[in-house]
Amino acid sequence: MTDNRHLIEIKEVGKDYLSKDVAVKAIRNMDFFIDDGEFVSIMGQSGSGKSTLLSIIGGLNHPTRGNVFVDTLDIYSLSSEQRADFRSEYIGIIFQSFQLIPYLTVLENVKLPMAITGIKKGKKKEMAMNVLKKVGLQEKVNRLPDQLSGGEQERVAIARAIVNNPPILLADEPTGNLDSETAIEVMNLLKELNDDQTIIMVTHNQDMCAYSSRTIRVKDGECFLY
Amino acid sequence: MAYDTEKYRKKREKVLGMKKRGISFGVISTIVSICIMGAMGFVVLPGTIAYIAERNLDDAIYRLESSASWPNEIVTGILETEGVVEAVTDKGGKRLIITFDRQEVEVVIFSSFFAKNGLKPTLLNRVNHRQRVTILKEEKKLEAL
Repeated sequence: MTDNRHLIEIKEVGKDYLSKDVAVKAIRNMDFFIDDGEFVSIMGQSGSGKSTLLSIIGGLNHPTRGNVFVDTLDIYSLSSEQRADFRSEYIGIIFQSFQLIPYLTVLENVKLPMAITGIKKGKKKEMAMNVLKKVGLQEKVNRLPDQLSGGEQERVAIARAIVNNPPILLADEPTGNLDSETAIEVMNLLKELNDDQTIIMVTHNQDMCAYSSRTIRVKDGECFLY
Repeated sequence: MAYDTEKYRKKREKVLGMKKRGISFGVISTIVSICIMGAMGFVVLPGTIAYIAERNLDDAIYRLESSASWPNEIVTGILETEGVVEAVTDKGGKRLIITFDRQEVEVVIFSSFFAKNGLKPTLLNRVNHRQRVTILKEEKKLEAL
């Protein structure tokens, strides 16, 4: 066990992409931490590296340099199998475009992350129903995604992200496709979820940052803490 | 909120593989392989052992010219010859079958032993021991029919 005392620690992380034989530094040396129970916004212009940073925290994108510690685990030192387990156990992801499976019902979409967990069928349904109740969609479990409004689809995506009860919720522009009224509803829901989960939200909307306890500003691959 | 390392201990242990989740594919495949090899060994091994033990054995079948029965002292005497595994009589004691290791002894040794004892038997046949045992088994089967 290391001496890390923060839930998430980003240590000198850098990420380069190769574009036409030229290395583009998407993220320069970033160094910060996020504590358990925080609601952190990552804010920045398009192409500033905020989504790359989010995917690195989520164990989805190997950094070129540095280490990412989550719950004392150096996640990029883990084997790929262990890292898959890490994502299943620790991370819930809400995408801007919801990424719901169009031919599966709301209930089936929410049950999807539990497919490889070994949880029994009946228990899976119970867990899915519980989170759908939490997001206020218990009446629409048998509908297909295209029979729902944008806000409802977002709530299904949130339910799917939290069904495994991950301690960390990553939200990539969760209100990007929503009108302002629905966006506020979704942000209130995220705020409620923050009682149990650490939330890291990528946004370029200043108003949405008001819901978070801290904002990390990203510009040209570097971060500035507030 | 202060971070408590104990809070997510179970998740951490699961990721690090410290918490067992059923039997792994590797263990199952090892058990299945051992079972298959064990079963194959059970079928194949006795035959293999028998072959290794008997692969150098030959049978020499003798009959006395007078068609008299073989004296017991000759049978016991031939048994003491190095390389002889078995010496038995059949057909009412008129045939002597000597099972011997062809790498250690040859029929000329038996001929000289018989000559020393004043006997001049006829060598009826010399055959591989395993082949003879197989023929005897098949004959028994045919007799039973």
